[in-house]
Amino acid sequence: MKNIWSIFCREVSSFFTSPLAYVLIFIFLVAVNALTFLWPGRELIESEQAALKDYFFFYHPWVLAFYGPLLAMRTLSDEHRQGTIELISTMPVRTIELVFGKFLGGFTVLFVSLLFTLSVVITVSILGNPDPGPLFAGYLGSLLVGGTFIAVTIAVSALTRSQVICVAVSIPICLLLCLIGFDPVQNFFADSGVNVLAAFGELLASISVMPGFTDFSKGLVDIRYLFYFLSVIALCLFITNTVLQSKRA
Amino acid sequence: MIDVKNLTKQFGHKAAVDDLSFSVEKGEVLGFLGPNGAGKSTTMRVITGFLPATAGSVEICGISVKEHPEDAKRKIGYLPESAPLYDDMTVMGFLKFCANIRGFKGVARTQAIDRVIETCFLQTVVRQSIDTLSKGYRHRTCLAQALLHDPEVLVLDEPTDGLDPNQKHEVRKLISDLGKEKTIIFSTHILEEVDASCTRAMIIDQGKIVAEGSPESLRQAGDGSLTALFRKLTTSEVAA
Repeated sequence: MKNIWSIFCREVSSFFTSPLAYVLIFIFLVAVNALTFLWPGRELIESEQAALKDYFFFYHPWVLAFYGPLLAMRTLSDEHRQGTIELISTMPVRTIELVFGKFLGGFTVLFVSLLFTLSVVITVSILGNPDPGPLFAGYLGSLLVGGTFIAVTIAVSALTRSQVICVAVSIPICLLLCLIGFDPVQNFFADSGVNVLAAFGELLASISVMPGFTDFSKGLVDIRYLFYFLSVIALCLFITNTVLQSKRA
Repeated sequence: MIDVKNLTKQFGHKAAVDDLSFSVEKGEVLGFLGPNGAGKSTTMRVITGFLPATAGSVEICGISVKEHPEDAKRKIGYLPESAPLYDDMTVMGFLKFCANIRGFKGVARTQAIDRVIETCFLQTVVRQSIDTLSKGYRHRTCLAQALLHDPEVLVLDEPTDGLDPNQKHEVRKLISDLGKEKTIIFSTHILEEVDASCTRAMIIDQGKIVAEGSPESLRQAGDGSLTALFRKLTTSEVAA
């Protein structure tokens, strides 16, 4: 536990000492705010609604599919590139402690980034009266989706020492995890009239982050979806652990 | 203290270390000599638990590296080749991080850090960011983390690589001093270092021991010259 804490602290402080971190957070906030307030035909202010589901949370998985990988791309790629993986692996630290500490570091930065988006919530609260239930559940959904994408990226970063390759592989995976559960794609399979395709669509939906996230943003915290997100994160971290150990064999 | 038995490490079909056996006792400084690619770094990586052995065993102070890796790693201070460091940290931040991982807290942590800063002459760069350090300081910072927990066993992979003559002299002296109370194994391909710091030396080539003994006995075997012995026994990469 102590080791996880030390690695977590290093990870967070390393992130915030890099100028790249502030650029990333800035771009993340610009993206979230621009999509929320400026997307043609879906402008939040003109909608005169205080529900954030369709105007704010709607974009979160898509933005996070880019932000998560950019946030976590350095995690293990950098350790391999700088050779520090040899240093940390020869200290009395278990590989799983290293992986989990790094994940928690990335997750905390994500949490801080999401806190900054509260400006949107404050704006809506001044103009209207948003329901707190869906708001909290929506943020929980964003955290879980972002956490999943960070875990996916960490697993990819264990395989390569290049941050560019890590991002180039992780972003499509994360986008795919959104896309296969996205309504238009799901409708395509459901409306196809072919049983096999419809079943395939359902299979895709069960892998995607979208159904869970959509429920959360409506204010429905379904324990099955909570379990889904946590098990995907655990699976990715387990894969990372296995990759790191087998890489040395 | 370090007990290596029939150690083999293969990468694919190629054996980087081939059935190597040796032991190093407390108070001994073993110089690990060999041309590039002889298997020095691989052997050290297996000893420190970074790489698993394909066959054979390594024990540190009686603790098996394979069976109890965390316990064995607590006994070892390791300076990897090329002295890897976290470039985004300051020297102090890095040493604090390593001290935390090594289980130091409060006053004990401060004392341990102060001690290695003094031993490795890092006083002037303590607040400096690691990415701005010269090669000599980088090496010494990495050496400092290896000494933090006052380990019984030191494994140093080319500790003088990239240092200027003054720094080389200091590090050799440090190794000799530390060697009185610890078990040290260090690799080098600078033969003069054997005379300067080692109580015993071993020449390896293609993963096998080709000569072993005190610096004097090795020199005698090479008709008065370590270089002659080294050239006679090892394979040149150019020739190969």
